Amino acid sequence: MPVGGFRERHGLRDLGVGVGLRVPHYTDLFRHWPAVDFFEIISENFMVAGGKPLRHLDAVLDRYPVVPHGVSLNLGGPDPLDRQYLARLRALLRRVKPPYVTDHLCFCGAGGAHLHDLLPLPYTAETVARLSERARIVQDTLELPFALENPSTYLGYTTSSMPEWQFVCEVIERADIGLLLDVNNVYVSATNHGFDPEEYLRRVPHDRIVQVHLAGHADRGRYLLDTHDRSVAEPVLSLYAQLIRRAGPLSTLIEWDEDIPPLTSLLAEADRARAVRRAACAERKVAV
Amino acid sequence: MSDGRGPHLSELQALIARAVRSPRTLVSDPYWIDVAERCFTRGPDLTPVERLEIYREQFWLRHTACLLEDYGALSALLGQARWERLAEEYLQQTPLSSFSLRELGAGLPAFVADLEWLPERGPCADLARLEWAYVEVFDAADVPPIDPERLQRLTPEQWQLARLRLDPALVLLELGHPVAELRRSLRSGGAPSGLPAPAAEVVVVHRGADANVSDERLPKAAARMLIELRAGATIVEAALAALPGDPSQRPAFLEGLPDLFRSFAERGYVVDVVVDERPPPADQSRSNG
Repeated sequence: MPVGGFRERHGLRDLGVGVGLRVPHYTDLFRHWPAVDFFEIISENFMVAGGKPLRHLDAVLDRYPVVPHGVSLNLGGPDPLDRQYLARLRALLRRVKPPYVTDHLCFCGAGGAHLHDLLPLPYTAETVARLSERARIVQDTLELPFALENPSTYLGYTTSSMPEWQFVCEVIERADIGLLLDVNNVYVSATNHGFDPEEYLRRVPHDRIVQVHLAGHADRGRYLLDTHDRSVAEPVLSLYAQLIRRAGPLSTLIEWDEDIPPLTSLLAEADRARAVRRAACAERKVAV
Repeated sequence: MSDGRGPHLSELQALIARAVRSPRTLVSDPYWIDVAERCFTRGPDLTPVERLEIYREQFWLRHTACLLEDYGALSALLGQARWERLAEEYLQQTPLSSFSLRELGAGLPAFVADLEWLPERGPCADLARLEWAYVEVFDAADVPPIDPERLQRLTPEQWQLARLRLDPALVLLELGHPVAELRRSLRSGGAPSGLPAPAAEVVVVHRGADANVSDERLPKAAARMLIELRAGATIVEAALAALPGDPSQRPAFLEGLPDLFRSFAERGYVVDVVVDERPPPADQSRSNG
Protein backbone atom coordinates (compact mmCIF):
# COMPACT_ATOMS: atom_id res chain seq x y z
CA MET A 1 0.00 0.00 0.00
CA PRO A 2 1.55 3.35 -1.00
CA VAL A 3 2.41 5.62 1.91
CA GLY A 4 1.78 9.40 1.74
CA GLY A 5 -0.20 11.47 -0.72
CA PHE A 6 0.34 11.13 -4.45
CA ARG A 7 1.95 14.57 -4.81
CA GLU A 8 4.19 13.97 -1.83
CA ARG A 9 5.30 10.53 -2.99
CA HIS A 10 6.22 11.88 -6.41
CA GLY A 11 7.73 15.13 -5.16
CA LEU A 12 5.31 17.26 -7.16
CA ARG A 13 5.57 20.88 -6.11
CA ASP A 14 3.14 23.73 -6.58
CA LEU A 15 3.88 25.29 -9.99
CA GLY A 16 1.79 28.41 -9.37
CA VAL A 17 -0.71 29.70 -11.94
CA GLY A 18 0.12 29.02 -15.58
CA VAL A 19 -1.45 29.38 -19.00
CA GLY A 20 -1.73 27.26 -22.13
CA LEU A 21 0.96 27.78 -24.76
CA ARG A 22 -0.83 28.83 -27.93
CA VAL A 23 0.50 29.89 -31.36
CA PRO A 24 -1.19 33.35 -31.48
CA HIS A 25 0.94 34.38 -28.49
CA TYR A 26 4.31 33.40 -29.93
CA THR A 27 5.21 36.84 -31.30
CA ASP A 28 4.52 38.59 -27.98
CA LEU A 29 6.01 35.79 -25.94
CA PHE A 30 9.29 35.59 -27.84
CA ARG A 31 9.63 39.38 -27.87
CA HIS A 32 8.91 40.14 -24.21
CA TRP A 33 9.40 36.87 -22.31
CA PRO A 34 6.83 37.84 -19.65
CA ALA A 35 6.75 36.30 -16.21
CA VAL A 36 4.66 33.12 -16.42
CA ASP A 37 4.68 30.49 -13.68
CA PHE A 38 4.40 27.61 -16.16
CA PHE A 39 3.01 26.67 -19.55
CA GLU A 40 0.86 23.72 -20.46
CA ILE A 41 1.18 22.34 -23.99
CA ILE A 42 -1.21 20.11 -25.89
CA SER A 43 1.02 17.04 -26.22
CA GLU A 44 -0.18 16.01 -29.67
CA ASN A 45 0.75 19.40 -31.17
CA PHE A 46 4.38 18.67 -30.37
CA MET A 47 4.51 14.92 -31.05
CA VAL A 48 5.99 15.73 -34.46
CA ALA A 49 9.31 15.10 -36.14
CA GLY A 50 10.57 18.69 -36.42
CA GLY A 51 9.97 22.17 -37.78
CA LYS A 52 8.57 25.21 -36.05
CA PRO A 53 6.58 23.44 -33.33
CA LEU A 54 9.68 21.90 -31.77
CA ARG A 55 11.80 24.98 -32.42
CA HIS A 56 9.29 27.13 -30.54
CA LEU A 57 8.91 24.55 -27.79
CA ASP A 58 12.67 24.47 -27.23
CA ALA A 59 12.72 28.26 -26.89
CA VAL A 60 9.98 28.08 -24.25
CA LEU A 61 11.67 25.21 -22.43
CA ASP A 62 14.79 27.35 -22.03
CA ARG A 63 12.84 29.79 -19.84
CA TYR A 64 9.72 28.22 -18.35
CA PRO A 65 8.47 25.00 -16.76
CA VAL A 66 6.24 23.12 -19.20
CA VAL A 67 3.73 20.34 -18.58
CA PRO A 68 2.22 18.27 -21.42
CA HIS A 69 -1.53 17.64 -21.54
CA GLY A 70 -2.85 15.06 -24.00
CA VAL A 71 -6.22 14.98 -25.72
CA SER A 72 -5.97 11.84 -27.86
CA LEU A 73 -4.77 8.94 -25.73
CA ASN A 74 -8.21 7.30 -25.96
CA LEU A 75 -7.69 5.64 -22.60
CA GLY A 76 -11.30 4.53 -22.31
CA GLY A 77 -11.65 3.35 -25.90
CA PRO A 78 -12.35 -0.24 -26.90
CA ASP A 79 -9.23 -0.48 -29.06
CA PRO A 80 -5.87 -1.58 -27.63
CA LEU A 81 -3.64 1.19 -26.29
CA ASP A 82 -1.84 2.87 -29.19
CA ARG A 83 1.80 1.90 -28.72
CA GLN A 84 2.93 4.31 -31.44
CA TYR A 85 1.20 7.11 -29.59
CA LEU A 86 2.91 6.20 -26.34
CA ALA A 87 6.31 5.96 -28.05
CA ARG A 88 5.93 9.41 -29.52
CA LEU A 89 4.69 10.79 -26.22
CA ARG A 90 7.73 9.31 -24.50
CA ALA A 91 9.96 11.08 -27.04
CA LEU A 92 8.22 14.35 -26.21
CA LEU A 93 8.61 13.74 -22.47
CA ARG A 94 12.34 13.17 -22.93
CA ARG A 95 12.49 16.60 -24.54
CA VAL A 96 10.27 18.45 -22.03
CA LYS A 97 11.31 16.66 -18.80
CA PRO A 98 8.06 17.60 -17.03
CA PRO A 99 7.16 16.67 -13.45
CA TYR A 100 4.02 14.83 -14.65
CA VAL A 101 1.90 14.21 -17.73
CA THR A 102 -1.87 14.29 -18.10
CA ASP A 103 -4.77 13.19 -20.32
CA HIS A 104 -8.52 12.65 -19.95
CA LEU A 105 -10.97 10.22 -18.36
CA CYS A 106 -12.82 9.55 -21.57
CA PHE A 107 -12.78 7.67 -24.84
CA CYS A 108 -11.89 9.30 -28.16
CA GLY A 109 -12.97 6.74 -30.72
CA ALA A 110 -14.06 3.21 -31.47
CA GLY A 111 -13.62 0.59 -34.15
CA GLY A 112 -10.35 2.08 -35.35
CA ALA A 113 -11.87 5.53 -35.96
CA HIS A 114 -10.44 8.36 -33.86
CA LEU A 115 -13.13 10.99 -33.32
CA HIS A 116 -10.91 13.57 -31.63
CA ASP A 117 -13.36 14.34 -28.89
CA LEU A 118 -13.46 13.69 -25.15
CA LEU A 119 -16.41 11.31 -25.09
CA PRO A 120 -18.00 10.34 -21.78
CA LEU A 121 -17.93 6.85 -20.30
CA PRO A 122 -20.57 4.96 -18.33
CA TYR A 123 -19.77 5.02 -14.63
CA THR A 124 -19.70 1.30 -13.93
CA ALA A 125 -17.45 -1.21 -12.22
CA GLU A 126 -16.53 -2.59 -15.65
CA THR A 127 -15.32 0.82 -16.83
CA VAL A 128 -13.45 1.45 -13.58
CA ALA A 129 -11.62 -1.86 -13.98
CA ARG A 130 -10.74 -1.26 -17.61
CA LEU A 131 -9.64 2.36 -17.20
CA SER A 132 -7.61 1.83 -14.06
CA GLU A 133 -5.74 -1.07 -15.60
CA ARG A 134 -4.93 0.92 -18.73
CA ALA A 135 -4.01 4.05 -16.75
CA ARG A 136 -1.56 2.02 -14.71
CA ILE A 137 0.02 0.66 -17.89
CA VAL A 138 0.33 4.18 -19.27
CA GLN A 139 1.96 5.48 -16.09
CA ASP A 140 4.41 2.56 -16.06
CA THR A 141 5.19 2.98 -19.77
CA LEU A 142 5.78 6.70 -19.50
CA GLU A 143 7.81 6.32 -16.29
CA LEU A 144 6.33 9.57 -15.02
CA PRO A 145 3.46 10.47 -12.67
CA PHE A 146 0.33 10.32 -14.79
CA ALA A 147 -2.92 12.15 -14.06
CA LEU A 148 -6.36 12.08 -15.63
CA GLU A 149 -8.71 15.01 -16.07
CA ASN A 150 -12.47 14.94 -15.58
CA PRO A 151 -13.95 16.09 -18.92
CA SER A 152 -17.07 18.21 -19.21
CA THR A 153 -19.92 15.94 -20.25
CA TYR A 154 -23.27 16.37 -21.92
CA LEU A 155 -24.43 12.77 -21.91
CA GLY A 156 -25.26 10.29 -19.14
CA TYR A 157 -25.68 6.52 -19.52
CA THR A 158 -28.60 4.48 -18.32
CA THR A 159 -26.07 1.83 -17.29
CA SER A 160 -24.12 4.11 -14.92
CA SER A 161 -24.20 2.83 -11.38
CA MET A 162 -22.30 5.51 -9.47
CA PRO A 163 -21.94 9.30 -9.47
CA GLU A 164 -19.11 10.88 -11.45
CA TRP A 165 -17.07 11.86 -8.40
CA GLN A 166 -17.08 8.25 -7.22
CA PHE A 167 -16.08 7.00 -10.66
CA VAL A 168 -13.17 9.45 -10.75
CA CYS A 169 -12.07 8.43 -7.25
CA GLU A 170 -12.24 4.71 -7.98
CA VAL A 171 -10.25 4.95 -11.22
CA ILE A 172 -7.43 7.07 -9.90
CA GLU A 173 -7.18 5.27 -6.54
CA ARG A 174 -7.16 1.85 -8.18
CA ALA A 175 -4.63 2.91 -10.81
CA ASP A 176 -2.62 4.88 -8.23
CA ILE A 177 -2.41 7.91 -10.49
CA GLY A 178 -3.06 11.63 -10.10
CA LEU A 179 -6.09 13.80 -10.79
CA LEU A 180 -6.13 16.86 -13.01
CA LEU A 181 -9.24 18.50 -11.60
CA ASP A 182 -10.97 20.80 -14.06
CA VAL A 183 -13.20 22.95 -11.89
CA ASN A 184 -14.96 24.47 -14.90
CA ASN A 185 -15.75 20.97 -16.15
CA VAL A 186 -17.18 20.06 -12.75
CA TYR A 187 -19.43 23.12 -12.93
CA VAL A 188 -20.47 22.50 -16.56
CA SER A 189 -21.21 18.82 -15.95
CA ALA A 190 -22.99 19.55 -12.66
CA THR A 191 -25.31 21.94 -14.50
CA ASN A 192 -25.83 19.57 -17.43
CA HIS A 193 -26.57 16.57 -15.21
CA GLY A 194 -28.00 18.22 -12.14
CA PHE A 195 -25.47 17.10 -9.52
CA ASP A 196 -23.91 19.10 -6.71
CA PRO A 197 -20.49 20.51 -7.72
CA GLU A 198 -19.54 21.27 -4.13
CA GLU A 199 -20.04 17.67 -3.11
CA TYR A 200 -17.85 16.63 -6.07
CA LEU A 201 -15.03 18.91 -4.94
CA ARG A 202 -15.34 17.67 -1.35
CA ARG A 203 -15.28 14.00 -2.35
CA VAL A 204 -12.35 13.76 -4.76
CA PRO A 205 -9.01 12.89 -3.09
CA HIS A 206 -7.22 16.20 -2.66
CA ASP A 207 -3.81 14.62 -2.16
CA ARG A 208 -4.00 13.24 -5.69
CA ILE A 209 -4.74 16.57 -7.42
CA VAL A 210 -1.62 17.42 -9.39
CA GLN A 211 -3.14 20.37 -11.21
CA VAL A 212 -6.35 22.36 -11.58
CA HIS A 213 -7.85 23.65 -14.82
CA LEU A 214 -9.95 26.79 -15.07
CA ALA A 215 -11.65 27.94 -18.26
CA GLY A 216 -14.65 29.79 -19.62
CA HIS A 217 -17.86 28.16 -20.81
CA ALA A 218 -20.85 29.23 -22.88
CA ASP A 219 -24.46 29.16 -21.75
CA ARG A 220 -26.42 27.61 -24.60
CA GLY A 221 -29.75 28.11 -22.90
CA ARG A 222 -30.60 24.54 -22.06
CA TYR A 223 -27.05 23.41 -21.33
CA LEU A 224 -23.54 24.71 -20.73
CA LEU A 225 -20.81 24.11 -23.31
CA ASP A 226 -17.13 23.97 -22.34
CA THR A 227 -15.88 26.43 -24.95
CA HIS A 228 -12.60 27.80 -23.54
CA ASP A 229 -13.38 31.05 -25.32
CA ARG A 230 -13.88 33.54 -22.50
CA SER A 231 -13.03 34.45 -18.91
CA VAL A 232 -13.61 32.01 -16.09
CA ALA A 233 -17.16 32.43 -14.76
CA GLU A 234 -17.60 33.74 -11.22
CA PRO A 235 -19.35 30.58 -9.94
CA VAL A 236 -16.38 28.55 -11.19
CA LEU A 237 -13.92 30.84 -9.42
CA SER A 238 -16.02 30.51 -6.30
CA LEU A 239 -15.78 26.71 -6.50
CA TYR A 240 -12.05 27.05 -7.10
CA ALA A 241 -11.72 29.11 -3.92
CA GLN A 242 -13.60 26.44 -1.98
CA LEU A 243 -11.26 23.80 -3.35
CA ILE A 244 -8.13 25.73 -2.43
CA ARG A 245 -9.47 26.39 1.07
CA ARG A 246 -9.79 22.63 1.49
CA ALA A 247 -6.76 21.37 -0.42
CA GLY A 248 -4.23 24.20 -0.14
CA PRO A 249 -2.31 25.75 -3.04
CA LEU A 250 -2.56 23.64 -6.20
CA SER A 251 -0.86 24.16 -9.56
CA THR A 252 -3.52 25.93 -11.61
CA LEU A 253 -3.86 26.55 -15.32
CA ILE A 254 -6.03 28.90 -17.35
CA GLU A 255 -7.23 27.28 -20.59
CA TRP A 256 -8.24 29.57 -23.46
CA ASP A 257 -8.43 27.94 -26.89
CA GLU A 258 -11.01 29.84 -28.97
CA ASP A 259 -11.26 33.59 -29.60
CA ILE A 260 -7.85 33.72 -28.01
CA PRO A 261 -7.15 37.15 -26.46
CA PRO A 262 -3.77 38.93 -26.46
CA LEU A 263 -1.18 37.41 -24.16
CA THR A 264 -1.48 40.33 -21.72
CA SER A 265 -5.21 39.63 -21.31
CA LEU A 266 -4.58 35.94 -20.76
CA LEU A 267 -1.96 36.73 -18.14
CA ALA A 268 -4.42 39.12 -16.48
CA GLU A 269 -6.84 36.19 -16.29
CA ALA A 270 -4.08 34.16 -14.62
CA ASP A 271 -3.59 37.04 -12.16
CA ARG A 272 -7.31 36.92 -11.39
CA ALA A 273 -7.04 33.24 -10.51
CA ARG A 274 -3.84 33.90 -8.58
CA ALA A 275 -5.64 36.50 -6.43
CA VAL A 276 -8.44 34.03 -5.66
CA ARG A 277 -5.89 31.37 -4.84
CA ARG A 278 -3.93 33.69 -2.55
CA ALA A 279 -7.07 34.79 -0.70
CA ALA A 280 -8.27 31.20 -0.31
CA CYS A 281 -4.88 30.12 1.01
CA ALA A 282 -4.94 32.99 3.51
CA GLU A 283 -8.42 31.96 4.70
CA ARG A 284 -7.23 28.37 4.97
CA LYS A 285 -4.41 29.43 7.31
CA VAL A 286 -6.84 31.40 9.43
CA ALA A 287 -9.16 28.41 9.51
CA VAL A 288 -6.31 26.09 10.55
CA MET B 1 -27.84 -5.10 -26.84
CA SER B 2 -30.49 -7.70 -26.12
CA ASP B 3 -29.34 -9.60 -23.05
CA GLY B 4 -31.48 -7.50 -20.73
CA ARG B 5 -28.47 -5.91 -18.98
CA GLY B 6 -28.08 -3.20 -21.56
CA PRO B 7 -25.40 -2.87 -24.17
CA HIS B 8 -21.80 -3.80 -23.50
CA LEU B 9 -19.34 -0.91 -23.19
CA SER B 10 -17.76 -1.52 -26.59
CA GLU B 11 -21.20 -1.67 -28.23
CA LEU B 12 -22.13 1.65 -26.68
CA GLN B 13 -18.91 3.19 -27.88
CA ALA B 14 -19.38 1.90 -31.42
CA LEU B 15 -22.90 3.30 -31.34
CA ILE B 16 -21.72 6.74 -30.25
CA ALA B 17 -18.98 6.72 -32.87
CA ARG B 18 -21.58 6.02 -35.54
CA ALA B 19 -23.93 8.69 -34.20
CA VAL B 20 -21.40 11.52 -34.08
CA ARG B 21 -20.18 10.80 -37.61
CA SER B 22 -23.68 11.13 -38.97
CA PRO B 23 -23.83 14.19 -41.25
CA ARG B 24 -27.51 14.77 -40.47
CA THR B 25 -29.08 15.81 -37.18
CA LEU B 26 -30.10 12.96 -34.90
CA VAL B 27 -32.90 14.74 -33.09
CA SER B 28 -35.54 14.08 -35.76
CA ASP B 29 -34.43 10.57 -36.63
CA PRO B 30 -36.72 7.92 -35.02
CA TYR B 31 -33.90 5.38 -34.97
CA TRP B 32 -31.56 7.58 -32.95
CA ILE B 33 -34.36 8.86 -30.74
CA ASP B 34 -35.15 5.25 -29.80
CA VAL B 35 -31.51 4.25 -29.32
CA ALA B 36 -30.81 7.32 -27.19
CA GLU B 37 -33.87 6.72 -24.99
CA ARG B 38 -32.61 3.22 -24.22
CA CYS B 39 -28.91 4.02 -23.72
CA PHE B 40 -28.72 7.54 -22.33
CA THR B 41 -30.35 9.47 -19.54
CA ARG B 42 -32.47 12.57 -19.81
CA GLY B 43 -30.81 15.79 -18.59
CA PRO B 44 -32.43 18.57 -16.64
CA ASP B 45 -33.43 20.30 -19.90
CA LEU B 46 -32.46 17.97 -22.73
CA THR B 47 -33.76 14.68 -24.08
CA PRO B 48 -31.28 11.83 -24.50
CA VAL B 49 -31.05 12.34 -28.26
CA GLU B 50 -30.52 16.07 -27.84
CA ARG B 51 -27.62 15.31 -25.54
CA LEU B 52 -26.10 12.94 -28.10
CA GLU B 53 -26.60 15.59 -30.77
CA ILE B 54 -24.23 17.96 -28.93
CA TYR B 55 -21.37 15.56 -29.61
CA ARG B 56 -22.38 15.12 -33.25
CA GLU B 57 -22.40 18.89 -33.80
CA GLN B 58 -19.01 19.28 -32.17
CA PHE B 59 -17.54 16.48 -34.32
CA TRP B 60 -18.54 18.19 -37.55
CA LEU B 61 -17.54 21.69 -36.40
CA ARG B 62 -14.11 20.51 -35.32
CA HIS B 63 -13.36 18.34 -38.34
CA THR B 64 -14.57 20.75 -41.00
CA ALA B 65 -12.60 23.56 -39.34
CA CYS B 66 -9.49 21.40 -39.41
CA LEU B 67 -9.91 20.59 -43.11
CA LEU B 68 -10.54 24.24 -43.88
CA GLU B 69 -7.32 25.24 -42.18
CA ASP B 70 -5.28 22.84 -44.32
CA TYR B 71 -7.15 23.47 -47.57
CA GLY B 72 -7.86 27.20 -47.47
CA ALA B 73 -7.11 27.72 -51.17
CA LEU B 74 -9.12 24.74 -52.38
CA SER B 75 -12.13 25.75 -50.31
CA ALA B 76 -11.95 29.31 -51.68
CA LEU B 77 -11.70 27.96 -55.23
CA LEU B 78 -14.68 25.65 -54.82
CA GLY B 79 -16.94 28.11 -53.02
CA GLN B 80 -18.87 27.35 -49.85
CA ALA B 81 -21.53 24.97 -51.17
CA ARG B 82 -19.19 22.70 -53.12
CA TRP B 83 -16.53 22.81 -50.39
CA GLU B 84 -19.07 21.75 -47.78
CA ARG B 85 -20.25 18.90 -50.00
CA LEU B 86 -16.66 17.77 -50.53
CA ALA B 87 -15.83 18.00 -46.81
CA GLU B 88 -18.95 16.08 -45.82
CA GLU B 89 -18.38 13.28 -48.31
CA TYR B 90 -14.69 13.05 -47.44
CA LEU B 91 -15.28 12.93 -43.69
CA GLN B 92 -18.00 10.32 -44.08
CA GLN B 93 -15.99 8.07 -46.37
CA THR B 94 -12.55 8.52 -44.82
CA PRO B 95 -12.64 7.89 -41.07
CA LEU B 96 -9.45 9.05 -39.39
CA SER B 97 -7.62 6.34 -37.50
CA SER B 98 -4.66 8.45 -36.41
CA PHE B 99 -4.42 10.03 -32.97
CA SER B 100 -3.20 13.14 -34.76
CA LEU B 101 -5.81 15.45 -36.22
CA ARG B 102 -3.00 16.73 -38.42
CA GLU B 103 -3.49 13.58 -40.55
CA LEU B 104 -7.14 14.36 -41.22
CA GLY B 105 -6.59 15.80 -44.67
CA ALA B 106 -3.96 13.31 -45.85
CA GLY B 107 -6.34 11.50 -48.17
CA LEU B 108 -8.08 14.55 -49.59
CA PRO B 109 -5.96 15.04 -52.75
CA ALA B 110 -6.63 11.47 -53.92
CA PHE B 111 -10.29 11.82 -52.91
CA VAL B 112 -10.64 14.99 -55.01
CA ALA B 113 -8.93 13.35 -57.99
CA ASP B 114 -11.69 10.70 -58.03
CA LEU B 115 -14.61 13.04 -57.47
CA GLU B 116 -16.96 12.47 -60.37
CA TRP B 117 -19.26 15.40 -59.63
CA LEU B 118 -16.37 17.86 -59.84
CA PRO B 119 -15.62 18.59 -63.52
CA GLU B 120 -12.42 20.52 -62.67
CA ARG B 121 -11.10 17.75 -60.42
CA GLY B 122 -7.69 17.74 -62.20
CA PRO B 123 -6.55 21.23 -61.20
CA CYS B 124 -8.39 20.93 -57.87
CA ALA B 125 -6.50 17.73 -57.04
CA ASP B 126 -3.22 19.43 -57.96
CA LEU B 127 -4.08 22.36 -55.71
CA ALA B 128 -4.94 19.94 -52.90
CA ARG B 129 -1.63 18.10 -53.37
CA LEU B 130 0.24 21.38 -53.12
CA GLU B 131 -1.63 22.42 -49.99
CA TRP B 132 -1.06 19.04 -48.37
CA ALA B 133 2.66 19.21 -49.20
CA TYR B 134 2.83 22.36 -47.08
CA VAL B 135 1.29 20.44 -44.16
CA GLU B 136 3.71 17.55 -44.57
CA VAL B 137 6.80 19.72 -44.82
CA PHE B 138 5.82 22.04 -41.95
CA ASP B 139 6.71 19.55 -39.21
CA ALA B 140 8.84 17.01 -41.06
CA ALA B 141 12.06 15.85 -39.40
CA ASP B 142 14.85 18.34 -38.81
CA VAL B 143 18.00 17.20 -40.58
CA PRO B 144 20.85 19.68 -41.07
CA PRO B 145 21.77 20.35 -44.71
CA ILE B 146 24.97 18.94 -46.12
CA ASP B 147 28.05 21.12 -46.13
CA PRO B 148 28.53 21.95 -49.86
CA GLU B 149 32.25 21.35 -49.33
CA ARG B 150 31.54 17.65 -48.93
CA LEU B 151 30.31 17.49 -52.51
CA GLN B 152 33.34 19.39 -53.74
CA ARG B 153 35.66 16.95 -51.98
CA LEU B 154 34.25 13.93 -53.83
CA THR B 155 36.76 12.33 -56.20
CA PRO B 156 35.68 11.66 -59.81
CA GLU B 157 35.45 7.97 -58.89
CA GLN B 158 33.19 8.74 -55.93
CA TRP B 159 30.94 10.92 -58.09
CA GLN B 160 30.24 7.81 -60.17
CA LEU B 161 28.88 5.97 -57.15
CA ALA B 162 27.44 8.75 -54.99
CA ARG B 163 23.79 9.01 -54.07
CA LEU B 164 22.32 12.10 -52.44
CA ARG B 165 19.86 11.98 -49.57
CA LEU B 166 17.24 14.67 -49.88
CA ASP B 167 15.87 16.68 -46.97
CA PRO B 168 12.84 14.99 -45.30
CA ALA B 169 11.32 18.49 -45.24
CA LEU B 170 11.17 18.53 -49.05
CA VAL B 171 8.33 17.33 -51.25
CA LEU B 172 8.55 17.14 -55.03
CA LEU B 173 5.26 17.45 -56.85
CA GLU B 174 4.78 16.55 -60.50
CA LEU B 175 1.69 18.60 -61.28
CA GLY B 176 -0.50 18.74 -64.36
CA HIS B 177 -1.53 22.34 -63.71
CA PRO B 178 0.44 25.39 -62.55
CA VAL B 179 -1.39 25.95 -59.27
CA ALA B 180 1.30 27.55 -57.09
CA GLU B 181 0.33 31.13 -57.97
CA LEU B 182 -3.32 30.23 -57.64
CA ARG B 183 -2.66 28.90 -54.13
CA ARG B 184 -0.81 32.03 -53.10
CA SER B 185 -3.53 34.29 -54.44
CA LEU B 186 -6.40 32.37 -52.87
CA ARG B 187 -4.61 31.98 -49.54
CA SER B 188 -4.05 35.73 -49.36
CA GLY B 189 -7.74 36.39 -49.87
CA GLY B 190 -7.78 36.83 -53.66
CA ALA B 191 -10.98 36.01 -55.49
CA PRO B 192 -10.99 32.87 -57.64
CA SER B 193 -10.15 34.02 -61.17
CA GLY B 194 -10.44 30.93 -63.32
CA LEU B 195 -8.49 27.75 -63.47
CA PRO B 196 -5.00 27.44 -64.89
CA ALA B 197 -4.74 25.67 -68.24
CA PRO B 198 -3.10 22.24 -68.12
CA ALA B 199 0.71 22.46 -68.16
CA ALA B 200 3.03 19.93 -66.60
CA GLU B 201 5.44 21.31 -64.02
CA VAL B 202 7.49 20.14 -61.09
CA VAL B 203 7.25 22.13 -57.90
CA VAL B 204 9.46 21.69 -54.88
CA VAL B 205 7.93 22.46 -51.49
CA HIS B 206 10.65 22.90 -48.92
CA ARG B 207 11.20 24.13 -45.40
CA GLY B 208 14.15 26.51 -45.23
CA ALA B 209 16.67 27.22 -42.50
CA ASP B 210 14.25 29.75 -40.99
CA ALA B 211 11.65 26.93 -40.68
CA ASN B 212 9.35 28.71 -43.14
CA VAL B 213 7.84 26.62 -45.94
CA SER B 214 7.85 27.84 -49.53
CA ASP B 215 7.37 26.42 -52.99
CA GLU B 216 9.33 26.89 -56.18
CA ARG B 217 8.78 25.80 -59.75
CA LEU B 218 11.86 23.88 -60.87
CA PRO B 219 13.56 24.17 -64.26
CA LYS B 220 13.19 20.99 -66.28
CA ALA B 221 16.72 19.62 -65.77
CA ALA B 222 16.78 20.35 -62.05
CA ALA B 223 13.35 18.76 -61.69
CA ARG B 224 14.37 15.57 -63.49
CA MET B 225 17.58 15.32 -61.45
CA LEU B 226 15.78 15.69 -58.12
CA ILE B 227 13.08 13.20 -59.10
CA GLU B 228 15.75 10.64 -60.00
CA LEU B 229 17.77 11.34 -56.85
CA ARG B 230 14.66 10.97 -54.71
CA ALA B 231 14.06 7.60 -56.37
CA GLY B 232 17.54 6.46 -55.29
CA ALA B 233 19.54 7.03 -58.45
CA THR B 234 23.25 7.81 -58.26
CA ILE B 235 24.31 11.32 -59.19
CA VAL B 236 25.52 10.03 -62.56
CA GLU B 237 22.31 8.14 -63.23
CA ALA B 238 20.30 11.24 -62.34
CA ALA B 239 22.43 13.41 -64.61
CA LEU B 240 22.03 10.96 -67.50
CA ALA B 241 18.28 10.93 -67.03
CA ALA B 242 18.22 14.72 -67.18
CA LEU B 243 20.50 14.98 -70.19
CA PRO B 244 18.80 17.19 -72.83
CA GLY B 245 17.48 15.35 -75.88
CA ASP B 246 19.03 17.97 -78.14
CA PRO B 247 22.76 17.09 -78.40
CA SER B 248 23.68 20.73 -78.95
CA GLN B 249 22.44 21.59 -75.43
CA ARG B 250 24.38 18.86 -73.69
CA PRO B 251 27.78 20.61 -73.27
CA ALA B 252 26.15 23.56 -71.49
CA PHE B 253 24.11 21.17 -69.34
CA LEU B 254 27.17 19.18 -68.31
CA GLU B 255 29.15 22.33 -67.66
CA GLY B 256 26.38 23.60 -65.38
CA LEU B 257 26.09 20.41 -63.32
CA PRO B 258 28.52 21.40 -60.53
CA ASP B 259 26.64 24.67 -60.04
CA LEU B 260 23.33 22.81 -60.00
CA PHE B 261 24.51 20.44 -57.25
CA ARG B 262 25.98 23.33 -55.31
CA SER B 263 22.65 25.12 -55.56
CA PHE B 264 20.81 22.02 -54.29
CA ALA B 265 23.20 21.88 -51.34
CA GLU B 266 23.02 25.60 -50.60
CA ARG B 267 19.22 25.57 -50.64
CA GLY B 268 19.27 22.77 -48.11
CA TYR B 269 17.70 20.22 -50.47
CA VAL B 270 20.51 17.74 -49.79
CA VAL B 271 21.32 16.44 -46.32
CA ASP B 272 23.82 13.68 -47.00
CA VAL B 273 25.92 11.97 -49.65
CA VAL B 274 26.42 8.24 -49.58
CA VAL B 275 29.14 6.63 -51.69
CA ASP B 276 28.34 3.00 -52.48
CA GLU B 277 30.99 0.38 -51.88
CA ARG B 278 32.30 -1.01 -55.16
CA PRO B 279 30.73 -4.41 -55.80
CA PRO B 280 33.22 -7.27 -55.62
CA PRO B 281 34.63 -8.46 -58.95
CA ALA B 282 32.26 -10.84 -60.69
CA ASP B 283 34.51 -13.97 -60.44
CA GLN B 284 34.88 -13.53 -56.62
CA SER B 285 31.21 -12.99 -56.04
CA ARG B 286 30.50 -16.25 -57.80
CA SER B 287 33.24 -18.21 -55.99
CA ASN B 288 30.90 -19.78 -53.45
CA GLY B 289 28.28 -20.70 -55.96
